[in-house]
Amino acid sequence: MGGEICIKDKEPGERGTCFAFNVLLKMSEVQQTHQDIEEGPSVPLGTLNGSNYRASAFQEASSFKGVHCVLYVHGSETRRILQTWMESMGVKVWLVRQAEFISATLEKVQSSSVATAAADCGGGDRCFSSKEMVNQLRNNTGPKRASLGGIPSGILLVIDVSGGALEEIYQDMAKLARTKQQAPCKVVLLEDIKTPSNELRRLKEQGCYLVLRKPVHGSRLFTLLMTLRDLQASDAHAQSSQVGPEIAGNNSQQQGLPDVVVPCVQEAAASAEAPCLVQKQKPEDDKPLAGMQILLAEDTFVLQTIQRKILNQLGATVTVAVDGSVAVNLLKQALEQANVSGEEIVPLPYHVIFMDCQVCSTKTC
Amino acid sequence: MDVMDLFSTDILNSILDTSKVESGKMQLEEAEFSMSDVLQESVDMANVTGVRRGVEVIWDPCDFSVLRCAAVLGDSKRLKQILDNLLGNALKFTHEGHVLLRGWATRPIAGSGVGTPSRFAHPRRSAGGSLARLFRGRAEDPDGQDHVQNDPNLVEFYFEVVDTGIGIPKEKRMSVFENYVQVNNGQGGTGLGLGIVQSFVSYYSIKSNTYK
Repeated sequence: MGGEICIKDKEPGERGTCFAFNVLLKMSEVQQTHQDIEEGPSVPLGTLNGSNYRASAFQEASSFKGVHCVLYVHGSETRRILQTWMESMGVKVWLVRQAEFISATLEKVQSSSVATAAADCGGGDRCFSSKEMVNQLRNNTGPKRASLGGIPSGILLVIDVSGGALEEIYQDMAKLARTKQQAPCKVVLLEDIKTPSNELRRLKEQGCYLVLRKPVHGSRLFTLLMTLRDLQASDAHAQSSQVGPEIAGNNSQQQGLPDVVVPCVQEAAASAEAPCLVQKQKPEDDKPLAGMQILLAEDTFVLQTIQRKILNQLGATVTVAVDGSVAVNLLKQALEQANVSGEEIVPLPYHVIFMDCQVCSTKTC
Repeated sequence: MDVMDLFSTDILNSILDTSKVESGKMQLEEAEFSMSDVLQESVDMANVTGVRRGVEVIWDPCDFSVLRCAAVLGDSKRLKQILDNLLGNALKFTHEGHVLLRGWATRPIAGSGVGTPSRFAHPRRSAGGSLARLFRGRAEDPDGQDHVQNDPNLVEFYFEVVDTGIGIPKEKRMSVFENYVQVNNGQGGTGLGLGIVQSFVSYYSIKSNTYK
């Protein structure tokens, strides 16, 4: 393998031995081209594909700013590795030394919103920090809570059950299950071959997302990475659903027309109150145009068919006019009907008119 | 018998491997494998002993370069043998603390000449350094080196197996890689392990034309 091996000196005062060696290996070209082809996160088939898939997941730059991790892990090296790895991705890590402090730390994380932000920037020169603090506090009130280290956008709770103190952990988890979490929270249990399975089952019943066997390395780090992504995704989801109704509310207040309404139909402004429009605001899965009345003026038969089909598929009701004069007549009729029915402003029959500019007999347009 | 003994000092296999290397008949396989899978497997296995002894065994991904590596070509069985041997050794002499496997993956910089041996040429490492130079002399095959340096698909994996055990006295470091030499007597084994490891690591597969 063309390498060499030697014994390295450890740092002065450190016990033990350090063997160092290197090997030279070729990258598998077949796999590289393969990787380029499947860009999307497809389901890996073979074991080698699986590890290539994992490798590509680690190649992507991930940032989990705003995610907090409460880390209760035995073994100083495991703890150090996990902490370094998570901090390299922007996760704020809270180390817990004893099992009985897990829930206390978790409470601290959740109540940390303003307090930590202030404490974080107040750590330096207090005379100069006040303005930044104000800015930071102001920022905190905005919707982008994930942008600062203070307010958690998700909490990952890593609990090592391999070192005993299971009763305390059980209490902590039971407490956790009872309290309502502000931010999405996932519990990962670490166990080893010595962990009694009945105890583990009891702990799992308290609601845990994942159980990993120690040592936490390689593919298990990958699993943790995916958990962090899940956490981030669930937070994004929670935020968007929070924002959603606000937008809808604003729109109905403004009585604004959706952009799709063609401005040339001046009378259409009156139809703003059309109830079906407001209904339509909520995106129906496949039919964003559901409830829409559309007048389509198009003389070419093929285009007519295609457009009608597409609009129908999107959920709209389409009336086709084969030329301009038919379209004008249809609109006139509709307006007359509307006038006849009373002085009240009545919704127009068409929300949108699609007009071919070169449709024949368009002198009236 | 320890599980560790089962995989690290399988006496018969050691003798067979040694004679194979000495007769120059060893062939390195070239097959696709995932480096991180091999490391994980080896460390997981060592961890079984570690858990029983209360020694923490883990693969430290360091800068995560090995985790980012896709499949490589090479002899995964021999590599695993190297790792198992070193980890087994480390565990044998460690009774508290940890046994770590650290791994890095880099691409040797073509033409710079510093690529591979830079980490070995640490000034503080007098004994190791001279040892490394010894092997480099062997590895620097005049027509082989050029191929190594110029191949853009080549990756250098650098590993460290670190323990907090009893350590090896400086004056004995040179001899640990010799066959049938055991620095710490009375621990079982044949004294062949590290000799084989060294042969595997430095084995430059001219016969199988690995780099041509």
